[in-house]
Amino acid sequence: MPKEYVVLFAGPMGAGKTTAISTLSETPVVRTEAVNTDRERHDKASTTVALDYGEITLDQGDKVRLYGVPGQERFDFMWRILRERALGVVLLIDDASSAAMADLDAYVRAFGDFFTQSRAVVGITRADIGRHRSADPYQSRLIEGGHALPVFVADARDRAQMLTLLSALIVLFELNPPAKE
Amino acid sequence: MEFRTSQVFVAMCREQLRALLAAADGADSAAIVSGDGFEIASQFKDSVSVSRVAAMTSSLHAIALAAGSELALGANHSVVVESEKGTLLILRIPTAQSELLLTVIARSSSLLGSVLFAARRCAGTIAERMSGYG
Repeated sequence: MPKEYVVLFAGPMGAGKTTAISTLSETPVVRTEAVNTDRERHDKASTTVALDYGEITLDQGDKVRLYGVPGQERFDFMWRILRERALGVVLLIDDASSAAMADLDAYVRAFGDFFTQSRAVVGITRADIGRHRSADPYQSRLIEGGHALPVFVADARDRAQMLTLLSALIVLFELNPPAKE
Repeated sequence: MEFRTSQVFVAMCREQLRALLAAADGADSAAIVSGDGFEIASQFKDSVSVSRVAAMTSSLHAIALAAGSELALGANHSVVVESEKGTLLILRIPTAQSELLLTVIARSSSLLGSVLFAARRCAGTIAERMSGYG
């Protein structure tokens, strides 16, 4: 029987969360973008201030609701709201950012339950113009922290790559079903 | 034009917020925030974290826009959160130059209509003054 999942896309400003959801969603994406006035933090025109929402049906008929959370910590109340509804998280880390490794640590902390319950995957974005250009240092960092989870280099604009991330997460859901409440 | 860093602009906003709180019976706190949730000017009671309310204002406004757009309701006029002990009101400041929001917190004993009226006037005045800033 087809299942329904709620999956979050989290990560720092500019990592490609909104793009990833637009790439994957079959339905018009609900966006909540505002003009970005924090150009020192990230030089892009707009930024998500509440959530992105999209939907995708996978080959087996499973439906996934995709929620993107805002990248700035000021919006962590939205993280809390959305975290409670989700089964797992796709964490996107911008390899071109000088803070990439610190971002990984911070998001693993903020979404800690998903990581300790092995319901998280990590996508390393913008690796083509990035610092490490590889998933390996991020993978090592996660393992040091006790989280042996899938880490991929992935382009948020590439549907096949985003589907790989999402499918890896769905496999983790099958392997680590949530405890019944 | 960076309004956030203009002291003249911030002072003008504060003055308009004071006028709003004086005019609207039961309105305790008010702030002007950027569309992406940064505080620009505020008249808040000490107990409230302005930066959090600024971020929440931005999120609530954006969700209201998304819902309005989904339902083809046209332009958004305001967001009203009515709760047991008070009301939160969010209005867009009608200016093309910059994305600015006005947020007002009023006690539950206040009349929503009169707070809304004063808030609209405040937003309109700020928009008018802004045209003078280029």
